[in-house]
Amino acid sequence: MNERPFPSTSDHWTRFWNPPEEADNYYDVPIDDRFGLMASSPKTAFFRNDLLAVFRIGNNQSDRAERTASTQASFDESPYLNSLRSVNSQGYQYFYSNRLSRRSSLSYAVRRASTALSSISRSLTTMLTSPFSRQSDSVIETARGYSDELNLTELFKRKQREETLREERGGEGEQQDDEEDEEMGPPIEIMEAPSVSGLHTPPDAGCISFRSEPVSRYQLIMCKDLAYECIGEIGVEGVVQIDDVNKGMSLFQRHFVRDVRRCDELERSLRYMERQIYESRPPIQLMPIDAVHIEVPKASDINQLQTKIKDLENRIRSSIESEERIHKTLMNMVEQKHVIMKVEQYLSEQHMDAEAIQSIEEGVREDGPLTGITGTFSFDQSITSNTLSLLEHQEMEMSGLGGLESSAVSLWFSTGVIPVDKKISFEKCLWRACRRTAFVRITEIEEDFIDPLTNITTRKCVFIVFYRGDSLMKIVNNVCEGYGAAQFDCPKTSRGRQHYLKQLEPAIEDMTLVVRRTREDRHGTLEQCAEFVHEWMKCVHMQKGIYHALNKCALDTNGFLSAECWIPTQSIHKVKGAIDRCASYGGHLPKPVLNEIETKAIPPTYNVTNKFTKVFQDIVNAYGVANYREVNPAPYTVISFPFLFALMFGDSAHAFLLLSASLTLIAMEKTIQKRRIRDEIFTTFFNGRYIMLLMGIFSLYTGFIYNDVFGKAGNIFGSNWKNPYNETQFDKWEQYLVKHKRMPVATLDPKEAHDGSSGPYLFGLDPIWNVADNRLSFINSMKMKVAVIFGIAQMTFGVVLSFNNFRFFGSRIDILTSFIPQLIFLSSIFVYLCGQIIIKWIYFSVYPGEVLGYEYPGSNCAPSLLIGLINMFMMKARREGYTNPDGTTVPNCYLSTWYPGQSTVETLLLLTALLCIPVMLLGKPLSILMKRRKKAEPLPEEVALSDTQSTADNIDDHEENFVDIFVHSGIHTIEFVLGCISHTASYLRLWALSLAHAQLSEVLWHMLLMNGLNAVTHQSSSLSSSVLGALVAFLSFFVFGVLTIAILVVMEGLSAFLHALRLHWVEFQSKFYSGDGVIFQPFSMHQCIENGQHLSDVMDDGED
Amino acid sequence: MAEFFFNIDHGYLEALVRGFKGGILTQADYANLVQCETLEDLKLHIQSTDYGNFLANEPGAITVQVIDERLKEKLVTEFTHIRNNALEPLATFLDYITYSYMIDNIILLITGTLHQRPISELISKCHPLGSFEQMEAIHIASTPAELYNAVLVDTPLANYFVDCINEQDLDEMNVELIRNTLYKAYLEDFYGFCKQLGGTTAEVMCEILAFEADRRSIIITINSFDTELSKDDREKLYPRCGKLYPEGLAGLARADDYDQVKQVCEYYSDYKALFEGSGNAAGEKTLEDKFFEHEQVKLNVHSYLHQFHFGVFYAFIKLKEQEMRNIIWIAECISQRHRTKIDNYIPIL
Repeated sequence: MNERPFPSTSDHWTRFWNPPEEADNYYDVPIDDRFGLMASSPKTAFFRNDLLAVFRIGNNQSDRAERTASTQASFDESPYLNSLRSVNSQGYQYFYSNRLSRRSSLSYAVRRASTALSSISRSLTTMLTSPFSRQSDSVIETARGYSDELNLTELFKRKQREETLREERGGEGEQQDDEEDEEMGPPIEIMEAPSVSGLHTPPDAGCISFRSEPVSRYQLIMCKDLAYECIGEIGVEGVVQIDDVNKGMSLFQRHFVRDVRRCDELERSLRYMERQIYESRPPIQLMPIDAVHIEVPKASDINQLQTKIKDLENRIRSSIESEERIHKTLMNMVEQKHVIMKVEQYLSEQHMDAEAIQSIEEGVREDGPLTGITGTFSFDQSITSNTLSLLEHQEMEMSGLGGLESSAVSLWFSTGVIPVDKKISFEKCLWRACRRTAFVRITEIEEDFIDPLTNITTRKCVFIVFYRGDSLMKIVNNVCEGYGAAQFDCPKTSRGRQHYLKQLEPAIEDMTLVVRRTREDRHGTLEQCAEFVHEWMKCVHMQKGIYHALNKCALDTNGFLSAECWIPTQSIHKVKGAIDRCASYGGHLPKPVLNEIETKAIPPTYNVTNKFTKVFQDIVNAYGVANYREVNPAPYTVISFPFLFALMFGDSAHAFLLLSASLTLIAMEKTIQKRRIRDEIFTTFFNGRYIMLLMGIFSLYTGFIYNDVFGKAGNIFGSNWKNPYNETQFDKWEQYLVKHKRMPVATLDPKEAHDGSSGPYLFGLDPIWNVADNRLSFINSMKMKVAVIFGIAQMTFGVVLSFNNFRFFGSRIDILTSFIPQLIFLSSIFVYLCGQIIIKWIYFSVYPGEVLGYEYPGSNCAPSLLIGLINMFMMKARREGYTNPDGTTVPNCYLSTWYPGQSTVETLLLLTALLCIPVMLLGKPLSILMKRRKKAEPLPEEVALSDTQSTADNIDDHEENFVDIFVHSGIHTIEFVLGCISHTASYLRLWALSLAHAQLSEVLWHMLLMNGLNAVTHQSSSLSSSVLGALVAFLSFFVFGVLTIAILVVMEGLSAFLHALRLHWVEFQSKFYSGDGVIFQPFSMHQCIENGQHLSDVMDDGED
Repeated sequence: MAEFFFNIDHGYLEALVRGFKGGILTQADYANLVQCETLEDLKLHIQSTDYGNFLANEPGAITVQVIDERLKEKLVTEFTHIRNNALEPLATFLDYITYSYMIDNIILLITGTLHQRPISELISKCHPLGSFEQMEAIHIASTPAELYNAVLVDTPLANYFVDCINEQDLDEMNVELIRNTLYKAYLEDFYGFCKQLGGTTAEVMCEILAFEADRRSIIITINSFDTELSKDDREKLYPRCGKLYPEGLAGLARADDYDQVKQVCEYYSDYKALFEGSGNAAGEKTLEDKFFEHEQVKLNVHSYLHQFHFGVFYAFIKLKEQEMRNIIWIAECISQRHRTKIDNYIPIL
C-alpha cells in the first residue's frame, strides 16, 4: 500500500486501465504492495461467493463474514478447500506475474516464490490436520491468519471487472460498463496481467481447480445473419465448447461449407505467398503472427481480402512464370554458348575427328567392343600432335552444312547439352543404338545451372557425337529426344562459330538483365506482401475457425441457428457480454438467446490453469482426464511432485544447475515463444520450465538437508562431534601404522564423542558423516525411513481425498464401505509403522536408561522395525523388554517388544485391519442388493403403473450390474490391500534413487576430478610436469563437467522425474482418482490461429 | 526359424506398411465419397482421411488428372521410403514389384510410338513406380531385337525379353504378344523367387501369384477368340506357375469359346465360384471385376493375417493401387456427372 514496487510499469497500465466514463472508480483501492499484482485471482474469488466470504473475514466485516461462512458450511464444497484454493492461486498468480515484470530481480522472485509456497504448505498442513472437520470456525481462524497478509478486503469491495482484465490482455477494446460501482479513490497499481501470456492460457482468471469447474449445457439461438459475429465474439472469450449436432452429416453437406472452402483456398494462396517470401533472396523479414491481440474480422472482410490476395497471387505467379520463360531462353543461350565454345576448343586443339573416323571404321570392321570410344575427354590435355587440323583443312575446301568430309568418308556430328547424371546411360544408349558406330565425346560444363523455381542446381555436360549416314542421324536425334538432351546446331566452320559466339554474348547479357529486372520487381511485390501476409493469415484462420464452429450448429427453417454448447458457470457472464456485444452490431436483428437446458450428458471436465499450473495439470491429464467434478490432483501435485523429485535428486550443486537452467528458460520465455521453435526435445524442456524451477528449488533444499554438494558434504554449522582421543592414543596409532602399514580405524563412540547438549544438529546432516566408514549405513537408514514416511503420508492423503470425492458426490455408502475401512486398514498397519519409526528416532539412543517403561541397555538393543513388522503379521510371541529379571541382557534383545502391551496392541491392529477387508469387499454390493430388495418389493402392488415394462427392463439392467458391482468391488479391494504393501515398498525408490545419485556423484568426484587434481600435486615441481599437471587437471575437469551435466543432471534428473511421475500416477492417484472424463475443449480464436499455423508449418515441411 | 530374425531386418518396414494399410479407405469413406457433388467436395472429404492435405496446395480448380498425379506421388513417396530402407532379400522383392510396372511402361511407350505420339506425352503417362533410365529412349527401336539390344539389355527385364527377340517387327499384335510373354516370364521368375525365399512369404505370395497367373491365362484365352492368334501361340503365353498348370492350361489351350473356358475352370473350386456370379448383364459384375475382387479382397487383405512375411508389401502396393483406381473412378464419375455407375468401385475393407 505504501510502497509500490514497480512504479514505472504502473503508469503503463494506467493507460490501459483508463475506461472512458468510470475512470476514477478504478484507482481508489489501497492495496498491499506484495499482493498488488494479484488483481485477477481476487476477481475470480468475487464471482465465487464462498471464496469471497472466506477472505472478507480478515477485516472489519468479520461478523457478517462469519455468517456467510457458516452458511458456507453447508455448501457443497468445503470452505477450507476454498481458502486453500485462493491462497494457492494468490501465490502463483503473484509469483508469476511478478516474474513477468522485467524489473524483478532473481532473488526477489525466489523470495516471493517461497512466500507463495510456504503459504500453500501451511494451508496443506491445515488441511491435513483437520481433514474431516467441517467447522467453519477453523476455517475462519485460518482465513484470519492469512488476512493479515492478504489485505484484500478493500480490493474485494471493488466492482469486479473481468472486462478490464480482458482489456489488459488485449491492450485495447471497449469497456463493458453495465456493472458499475460506487466509490472513487486513488488508482490501483495493477501490474502486468498474467494473461499477457495469452497464447497458451485460456483467458480465464484463476490458477488451478481443486475440482473441475461446474459446466452446464446451453442452447444458443442466433439469427443467421448475426451468427457469424456471435460465434466470433464467443471465440474471442474462448470459454465455450460447441458440440457438433450434425454428427451424421459429412463435412461437405453442411451449411457453411462454401465459406470454409473459400478460407481453404485463401489459406493456400497465403501459404504460397509465404513460401515465396521465405525463399526470396535477399531474405525478407516476415512479421510474426500476433496471437495476442484478437479482433474478430468482419464477415465481409474476406471478400476484399479475397480479391486482394487473388490479385497478388496472380501477380506473383505470372511474374514467376515469365521469369521462368525468360530464364529458360537464357539458359538455352548459355548452353549454346558453352556448346560452341567447347566444340571450337575441341576441334581446333585436337584432331579428334581423324581419330573418330578411324575408330568408327574399326568398329564397323571388327564389330568388337571398342573401349576407346566411350570415354570422356579433357580439354586440358596438352596438344602434342601436329597442329594442322585435318578439319581446318577440309573446311577450306567445302563449307556446306553437310558436315565434315574426309578423303573417303563423310562424317556428321551433332552437339548438345545433357545433365550430368544421365551422362553414362546416354553414352551407353548411343553406343548400342548406333551399333558402336558413333563416336561420342562428353565434357562437363564448369558452370552450375540453377532452376529459378526450385533453386536446385544441376550440372550439365556438352556432348559431341560423330557419325556417318542419315539413318544414324535419325537414331541419334531420337536418343537425344528421349533423354531430353537439348541439341544445338553448331556452325561447321571455326569462323562461323566465332561469329555466332559474338552474336550470342550481347544477347545473353540482355537476357540476364531482363531476368534480374523481373526478379527485382517480384521481390518488391513480395516485400509488400510480407508486411500483411501474416495479418491476413490470422484473419483467414479465424474466419475458418468460425465457419467450422458454425457448421456444428443446426439450422432451422426460420433462418435461426442453434448451437449446443457447454459453458463453465463461472464464465457465463463473459458469454453474455459477448452476446451483448454482438447484439449491438446487429442493430434491428433479434438478439441471440442463450438458454440453459437440462441434459443427461456428462459435462466435460474444465480445469482452470495458467501457464504456471498448466504443466502440472498436463501431468495429471496425461494419466487421464478427471471425471466431471472429481477431485483434481493437480494442485497437490504442484507441491508433492517437485518434493518427491527432490528427495531423489538431493544434491545442492546439481539442483543449482537445474535451477539456473530453468531460470534462464523463464527469463527468456518471451523471446523463445516468439521464435516458435518446433524442436520436440527443446519444446519439452521449455514447456516444463516451471516444474523445473520448483524441482530446482526443492532439490536445493533437500540437497542441504542431505548435505550433498557434488557428492561431498559442506561444513557450514560445524559438527556436533568431537575428538575423544588423547595424545597417547595417537602415538599408539602411529606405531600401529609403522607396524602394519595401514591406518587403524578410529571409532567415535557417541557416548563420548557426540555433543548432544545443544540439541539436534542445526540443519541437515552432520558433515562428519562424510568421512565416516559407516556413512552409507547411517544415511541409508535415514533415507529409507524418510521415504516410507513420506510415501505413507502421500497415500493416506490420497485416501483422504477419496473421502472428499465421496462426500461431494453424496455417496454415504462409499464413505462407509470404502473410505473408512481403507483408512483404518492403512492406519492400523502402515501409519503405525511410521509412528514406530518416529518414536524410535526420538527415544532410542546409545545411552542406557529406562525407555518406554523398560530398562534399555544400549544401542545393541534398539528395536528392529522391519522384523518387528513381520512378527506383527506372524503374531509371533516375543519376549518383553530387553533384560532378564536378573539384570542381564537377553540374547537378540532387538527382537523383543519395546513398550508395555505391544503384543496386544499389534494383535488388535492386525485384527482390525483384517476385519476391514470383508467390509471393503462385501459392503457395497450387499448394501446395493438390500436397497434393490426394498425397492423391488412394493413393485407388484403398483401394477397400475403404465411403465411396468420399462421398470422390468430396469431391473434386468440392475441384475446385470450387480455382478459388475461385485466384481468391481472385489478388484478394488484386492488392489487396495495388495497395493498398500507394494506401494509402500515402491516408495523406497525415493531412497534408492537418492542413494544412486549420491554414489554416482561421489564416483565422479573421486575417480575423475580428484585424480586429475592430484596429478598436479604429486608431480615433481619441474616446469614440464606442472604444465602436464595443469593439462591433466584441465582435461579431467572438462570431463567431470560434461559428465556431471549429461549424466547427473540430465539423465538422473529425467530418471527422478520419471519415478516421481510414477509415484503420482500409480501410488498416489490410484487411491482416489478415476480419470475417465472428457476434456473441455473451448472454441477459441487463439486455438484457431494456432491450428492454422500448425497446419501451414506441416504443409511447409511436407513440401521440403 | 526365419520368423525369429524377421524383425531384426524387416520389422520396422513391416510395421510401417501395416500402419499404411490402416489408412486404406473403408466402406464408410467410400459411402461419403460417393455422395460428393463436385470434386471440391471430394477434396474436402478426402482431407479427413489418411490422405490428409495432399491436395491442399493445389492452385485453381482440381481435375481428375491432378488427383491422379497426387495419388501416385503419394504412393511413390511411400514406396521409395520403404525401398530405401529395405535390406536384402526384401529389397529384391520390392524390385520385383516394380518390374510389372516397368513392363506396363514399356508396352505403353511402344504402343504410343506406333501411334506416332510424342515421347514426352507418353513419358508423363507412365507409372512412376516403373520408370527406369533407359525408358525414354525406347522409341528409337523399330524391331524387338533393337529394343532388346539398344534399350532393355541393361534393365532387369532383359532376361524376360529373350523370348521375344524372334518377333519380326513391332505391330499391335506383336506388342500384345511381347507384353504377355514378358508378363509370363516375369510371373514365373517372381514365383520362383518367392518359392526360394520360403516360409510364410512363399506361402502367401505363391498363392497370390498363382492366382494372378491363372487370371492372365483365362483372360488371354477369352480375349483371343476371334483373333488371328493361333492356339499354339496362345499356349506359349500362359504363365506356368498357377494352379491351372498343367492340366488346366492344356484345357484352355484347346478351348474355342467362353463356355469351354468355363468348363475347364469348373474343376477348380476357386475359379468356379468366380465364373458363376459373373456376367455382362446390368447389375452383374463382369468377370474382370470378379477377378479383381478375389485378388484384392481375398488374397491381398488376407495376407495381412499372416505375420513375418513380405506379402504385406506386395499386398500394400496392390491394395493402394486398387484404392487409387477407385478414387479416380469416383472422381471421374463426379466430374463427368455420370452418377449411375459411381458405385462400381471395388471396396477393399
